[in-house]
Amino acid sequence: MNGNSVMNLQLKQGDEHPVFVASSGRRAHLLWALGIFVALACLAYAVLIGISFMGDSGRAPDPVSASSAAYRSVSVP
Amino acid sequence: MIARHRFPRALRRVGSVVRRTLPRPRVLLAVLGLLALACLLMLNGHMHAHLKIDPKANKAGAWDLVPTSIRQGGPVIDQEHGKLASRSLPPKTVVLSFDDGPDPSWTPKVLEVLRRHHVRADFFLIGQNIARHPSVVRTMVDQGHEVGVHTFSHANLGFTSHASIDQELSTTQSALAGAAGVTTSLIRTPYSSGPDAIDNRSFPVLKYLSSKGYTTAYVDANSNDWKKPGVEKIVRNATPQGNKGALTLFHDAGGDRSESVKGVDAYITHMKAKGYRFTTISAAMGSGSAMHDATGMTSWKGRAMLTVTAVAIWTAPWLAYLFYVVGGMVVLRFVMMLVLAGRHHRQRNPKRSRGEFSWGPPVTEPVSVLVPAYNEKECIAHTVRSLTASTHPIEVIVIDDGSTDGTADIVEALGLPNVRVLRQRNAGKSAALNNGIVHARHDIIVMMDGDTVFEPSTVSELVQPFANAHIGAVSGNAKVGNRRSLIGAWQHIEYVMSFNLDRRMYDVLDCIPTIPGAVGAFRRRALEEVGGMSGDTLAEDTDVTIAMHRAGWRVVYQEHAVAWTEAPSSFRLLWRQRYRWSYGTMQALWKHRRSVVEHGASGRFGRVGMPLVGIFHVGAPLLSPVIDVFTLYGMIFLSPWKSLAVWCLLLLFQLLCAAYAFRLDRERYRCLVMLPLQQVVYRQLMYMVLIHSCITAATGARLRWQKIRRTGEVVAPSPNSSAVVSAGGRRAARAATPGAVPRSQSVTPGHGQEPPVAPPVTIGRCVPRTTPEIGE
Repeated sequence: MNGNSVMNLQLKQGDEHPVFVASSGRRAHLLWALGIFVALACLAYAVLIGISFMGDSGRAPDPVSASSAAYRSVSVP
Repeated sequence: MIARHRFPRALRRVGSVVRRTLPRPRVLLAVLGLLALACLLMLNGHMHAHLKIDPKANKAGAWDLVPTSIRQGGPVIDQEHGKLASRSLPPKTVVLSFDDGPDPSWTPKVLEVLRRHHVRADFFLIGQNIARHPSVVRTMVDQGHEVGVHTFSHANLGFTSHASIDQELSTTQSALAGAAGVTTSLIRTPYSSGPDAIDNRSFPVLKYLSSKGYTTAYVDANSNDWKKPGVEKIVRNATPQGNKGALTLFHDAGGDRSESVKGVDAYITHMKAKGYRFTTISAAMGSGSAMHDATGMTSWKGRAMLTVTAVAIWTAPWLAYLFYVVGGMVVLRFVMMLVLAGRHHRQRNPKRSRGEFSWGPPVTEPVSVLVPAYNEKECIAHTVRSLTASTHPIEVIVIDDGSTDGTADIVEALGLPNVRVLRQRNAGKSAALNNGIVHARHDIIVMMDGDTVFEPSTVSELVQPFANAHIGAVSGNAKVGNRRSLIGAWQHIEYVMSFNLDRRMYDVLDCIPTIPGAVGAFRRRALEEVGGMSGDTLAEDTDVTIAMHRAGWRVVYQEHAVAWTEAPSSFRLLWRQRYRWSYGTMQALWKHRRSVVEHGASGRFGRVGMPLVGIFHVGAPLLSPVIDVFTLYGMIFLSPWKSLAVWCLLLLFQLLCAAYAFRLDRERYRCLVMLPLQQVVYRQLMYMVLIHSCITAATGARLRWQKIRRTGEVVAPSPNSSAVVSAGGRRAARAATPGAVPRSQSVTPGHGQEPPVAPPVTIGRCVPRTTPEIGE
């Protein structure tokens, strides 16, 4: 067994930097805000689709009133 | 994913905060994101739905209920004082009408012809086309043309309920309001022609529309331009007899309309020469404009519709590109796997390579086997006993990482020669392994899990590659022992197919990214060179393997060194394991990211191994649900059979790969029956795991990690059988621990001196500690 290697391995133990871990929490808060924003945007989109396809009576605005009597006009019950 | 060891990962410096204070926006985000995606795809499908030609539409039905006066009357019909009234155009008057638009390429050409002749016309528009091409409609209205409704989706209103007719009308009016700020009282029902073709089915529709205030425009001179009969014929079709007025029909959308454009041009010239005047329907009727400024709700609905449609139109192609990218990745992986795994098989198989292949002189020196264990009392005895049957000289070092269930005592009670037990305070797997490395007496170190069982020949097979001095580490072949259950069988397929084919492929490319914790061997010198195992990532096995590559050591796969491991037995546990693997893999890739730009061995791995792992183990599974989403989309809106066929083709490809993998590993094909369902479920599982991992990585949250529940059903295999699950294994394990409920494991505290980050978490089914567990 080699004394150096033992030293190295034990040194290594105290010298860890977990990858991705941010201790300040600022990144998490930023992402949380971003996530909420995206979620709300998605919700808004779904709601907009709902609104735009919400049906109504579909009535015509105002019928064409043919006032000219010059043409053949037939009425039926 | 890459097969590796499952081990409780102790938390480091958990410190003050455990981030449970935040709400769980990812759930909200996932639900709303899916909702938006579903809406978007449905909208897109709805908007792009091809105009279906309804075969029922052209069959003339009975007309005995239609008043003769209507059938023989003029083409413009509305309701006046509660009665239907039909009108004709005055003599020497033509109204040009165009159906099915707007079309982004043909409508502007028609408008240009009309502008040149100073002619105004009527356009009967389809709502979905208005929403897709609003600017064309705006131009049309600005130039003084009249617009009418031609329904939203070219629906055959004769077969539609009143509610659906209302929906068709109101959405089309909204689209019109959004695009040009107007609504209209003119309509032409799809599939209609002259008033003489009104039958018993379409007459009630006419009455209903009239009652809603619409003026219905039929046709009395059909150019039949859609049949592309030639310009001359179009002109002749549309020309009325004598000096009669005519409401003519052309089309400005629905295919190649170049003939219509030329036909209209020629027709206007022809009719003007005959002294006809051109006008719009409402002008010909001498009434006020049919179009009104849109107000209020209709206007807002219209704007909303145009916005959502624009978003959908912009997004859909990206989704389609994504689909091709993912499809390409999947196919590339399969092709690479098949080709390279085949080459691996030929190179390494002494029979196939005509005896040319050998690792070098046989390696017979004794080796150290490290068994890190944390609360492995169900399996540890099997594990250690399987080692004593080894045909290779070994010393076994069990490193007990602060177990609380007497794992170390169980091993000591076995009283086996050459088996040592090291006890340490709970410090995590990497620390346990490093501890073992320090105490190992030999130069070759085999690492295995406390829940894994070796065959007698495993160690000797595993160490043979060390005959080559360049080889620093060897990966063995981990197989699932508990494959009787559905979830076990699925993992069995996955281990044989993905992991082993993957590893063969990576071996040929000399960039194996992971030596599984279940079965791997390392040259001591190489381990020391890279500083032993590191606790930086949750995937210390991937981390150390990449470090070996970067240090210039070769890493190879020895498929004959088989180890039987116990796979997670529930979805919860599987989820947890995969979460740790994928998160750990991402951590390891990120930790070694600099290798991409480095020189030498490190750069080679960085430019070959890193992209492959990134694409195949992070990118592709992350995006893979696109495949299912598009299949579903295609089945609903495009061609159901074609979409299903493409999906099945992909499945067939997977089956082919799996069958080849099973052949290479000499496994029974029977299990492949489970493959289709496995593929679908795994795809969902993996992408959820990866999204979860990505979010965790992005937020920088610390992970608490939990131990996987063991059942201890994997035992040493008999030499002539591949079935290693002992039927009584589970029961035996329970019988050995009467009164105790061993399956509930708790969070592993870091370093032992820190308090647990959360109260013990029960894993699997929650069983009260006092209740004896009943068989499953």
